[in-house]
Amino acid sequence: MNDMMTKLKSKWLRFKETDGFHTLMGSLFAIGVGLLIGIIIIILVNPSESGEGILRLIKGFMNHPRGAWIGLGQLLYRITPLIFTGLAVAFAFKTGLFNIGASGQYTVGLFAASMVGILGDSLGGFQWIVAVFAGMAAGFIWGAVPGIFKAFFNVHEVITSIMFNYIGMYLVNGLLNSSFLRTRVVDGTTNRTLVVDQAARTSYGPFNAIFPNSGLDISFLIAVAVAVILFLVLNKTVFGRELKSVGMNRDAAKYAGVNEKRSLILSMAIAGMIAGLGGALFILAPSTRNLGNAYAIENVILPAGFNGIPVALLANSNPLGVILSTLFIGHITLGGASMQSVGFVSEIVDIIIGVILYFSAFALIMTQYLGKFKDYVAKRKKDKSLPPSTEEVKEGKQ
Amino acid sequence: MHNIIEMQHITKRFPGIVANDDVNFTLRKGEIHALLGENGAGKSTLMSILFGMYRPDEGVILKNGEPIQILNPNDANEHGIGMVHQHFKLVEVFSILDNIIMGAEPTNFGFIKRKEAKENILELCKQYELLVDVDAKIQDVSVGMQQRTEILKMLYRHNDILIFDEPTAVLTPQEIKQLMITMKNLVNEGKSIIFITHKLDEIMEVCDRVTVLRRGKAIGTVEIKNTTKEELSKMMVGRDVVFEIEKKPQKLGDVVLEVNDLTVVSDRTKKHVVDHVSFRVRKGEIVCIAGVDGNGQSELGLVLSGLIKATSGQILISGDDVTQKSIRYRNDHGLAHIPEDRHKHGLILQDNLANNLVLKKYHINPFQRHGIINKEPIFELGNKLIDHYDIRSGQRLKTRVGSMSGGNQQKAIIARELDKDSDVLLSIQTVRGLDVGAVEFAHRQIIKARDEGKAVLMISFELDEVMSVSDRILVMYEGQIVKNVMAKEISIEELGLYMAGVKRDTVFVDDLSKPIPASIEGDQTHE
Repeated sequence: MNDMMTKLKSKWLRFKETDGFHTLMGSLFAIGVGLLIGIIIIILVNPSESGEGILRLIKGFMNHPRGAWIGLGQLLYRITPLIFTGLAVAFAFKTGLFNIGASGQYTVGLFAASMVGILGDSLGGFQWIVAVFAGMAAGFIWGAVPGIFKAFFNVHEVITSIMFNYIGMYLVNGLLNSSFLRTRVVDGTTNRTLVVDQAARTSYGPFNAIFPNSGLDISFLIAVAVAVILFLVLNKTVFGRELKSVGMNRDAAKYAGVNEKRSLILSMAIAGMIAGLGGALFILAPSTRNLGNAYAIENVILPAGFNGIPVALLANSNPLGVILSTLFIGHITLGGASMQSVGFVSEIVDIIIGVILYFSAFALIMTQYLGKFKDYVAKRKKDKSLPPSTEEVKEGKQ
Repeated sequence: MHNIIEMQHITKRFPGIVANDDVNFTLRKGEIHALLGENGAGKSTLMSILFGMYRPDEGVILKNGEPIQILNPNDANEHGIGMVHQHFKLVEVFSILDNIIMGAEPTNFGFIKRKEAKENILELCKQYELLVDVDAKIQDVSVGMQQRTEILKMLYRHNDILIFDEPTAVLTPQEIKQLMITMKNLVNEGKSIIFITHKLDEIMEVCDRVTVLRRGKAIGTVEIKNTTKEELSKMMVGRDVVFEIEKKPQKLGDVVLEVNDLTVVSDRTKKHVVDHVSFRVRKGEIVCIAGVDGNGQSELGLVLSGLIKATSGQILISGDDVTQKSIRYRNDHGLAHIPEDRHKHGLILQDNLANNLVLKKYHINPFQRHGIINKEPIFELGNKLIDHYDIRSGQRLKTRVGSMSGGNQQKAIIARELDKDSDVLLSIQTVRGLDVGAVEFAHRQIIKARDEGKAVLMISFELDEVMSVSDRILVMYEGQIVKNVMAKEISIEELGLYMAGVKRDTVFVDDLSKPIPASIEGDQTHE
């Protein structure tokens, strides 16, 4: 027992020195400031109801009418697509690319998966697996194209991936309106795609027993697994190192022997694949809650991709951090929704998220200041006990 | 002459390092005062404090005896302090005129009075004999003219304390000579100059006094007329520096680098930047490609390393034709490469030192197993190289390379490349920006590599380096090799004639294709 405590303690001490810890502290600080400002706004807007409003904001998923436990299940269900798009943005960030095209990749993934899910009856028990892979493949291609443009023609990925959001959305809508698909996969009255076949749906796994009727299915587990895999790939493998070095300094990576064009394209393609997987799992969900498994044919870019950007930023692009940041953002979004019933607009949550992003951008600077402050306190303490000579300080430092 | 600037008891600490430790520094009115020190000795930090980019942890700054506060570069400017940074702070797409007036534009109801500004600047150009084309854009003019723009920026703001941070590192010999004249003009007009450098010859030529820093401490201030180069270098490094490095006689081995009829045609200008070049380098010799910058040496370096493609011709390393092979293939099959541009190619500045030291090896055993990075051997290698090559940094392996001094960055590259198991070392501008101590160190390491049987191909624009290190010299002029000669058999003057294109050996390429005449090899080995 004691052994384990000391072991844990030493692990904790080591973790405290890592960059990850500093980022975490910076993010927590930003969250604190964001919530504080949100609370001030709530009080200013409607002082009489502010107590209830703040409580609901903080309670988040726990506001669920069927209790906090089911609320937790619903929170996990809601955030799953966001984890995927957040990872798609974060992974690209880590390799020095700004993947603003997660929406497009998500959309084509969703489309490809639902086509297999509706039309692939002959696949039998494999239908959902094939559908998932089809979604991943579509996202892969949609991510790879901006990568190819960047690698060979030096076109900035932000521009191409924004354009590919539109191209993806219009292409999907155009295909759905084509004479072949219109009659087979679209429900004319709602102007939505048909619900995918039963065989194409993913499984609830253990979650229907744990969180009855919350909608949560195995895609959450897949999301967590993908986050862990990405974390390991980026930090532990030669492949991840090469992708990251290309992101940090393309010329030096090339000099060191990395095939920098290939790495660049793969970074974008993998990011696209993750977003595509998110879209696929969204449309293949076993629960029909929120009309999850039907795509509305509207000329609007799905917000899921863009919502991945703040998630990735707040997590400082750490794949494991993405899970935490989506949990938080999902939590206060649910809180915001529940605040509406006492007369507040849910957009207050957007303000809070905005403020948090601002401050998390300064997170690194702030952790530095916190570090300096800590040094100062430590010095004061030391000064009191035993004033070191300047000579000593220097010896220690060199 | 009174003291115009006094910096007293300046101390500045950074994480893991004391950059300035109780430093005193005084600048007299009308003098050129050199600030001399090794890479990372704290020169740039001290001047950044004076220019308001850093605030000192302790100490005061006096101007004309009055204590002043310099919180930012604008304050410094108010007090008449200007600085020419090592890396120029100019807007590439602006004209020289716009760059000079930027931030201090004369205006009339918000409109810039360009005409008046131009007259003022032309006046300044005449007064200080600074030749610039005020309407040309920065991106179109030479480095020398960019530097003169920086000088004019200071003059336009009526600065009278001018800081030059390693101004000669980027200049050609002619431009350096011109700069020296300019500096003398400036002090004659009543300006005071602080000249940061580690080139002793330049200090001896123009300076009045010199303050030497070593590891953050001021070692002393001496009058130039009372000192010598040897004494200064000893103050700077803390030991005697050997300018002439002794070399063991050559033990020539097989040809390991063979270049046949290599040609590179520039995409942009369609010029033959490397023009049918052929040569051989054998084990145990240092061959140096001499020449004035811009005669195709950079491209030759790039094409040998694989960073650009050859248009035609052949490159063989130990008999293996690598012309069409990838960079990684060359790295793994016997080529080590110290690149010309250490920030662009040599290092990943945002990454830490450990990762940079293993930059070319992380993909091979034991640094990885089955695609998984293996940290222990990487740290082991890093620690070994840091100790062996005396790479100084704040937090050793964890140091972000971008925060290290230029000299130590270069040491890290040299360490990485020399440690590599390779037959051919391609080293380009090896000692650019290094102080005498580090230069001596780098040259010793390269000669050691030669004695261990590596073939060394150096590309250098500095004649001193060419003459002191190489065994054999190839002169490159307009993309062609115009002279092949043993270093001992040519004088600097004659070499200069070949470099300038005045003399050239005509039947040269044929000569090179044959092995070196036995008599020359014989002479060498018997020495």
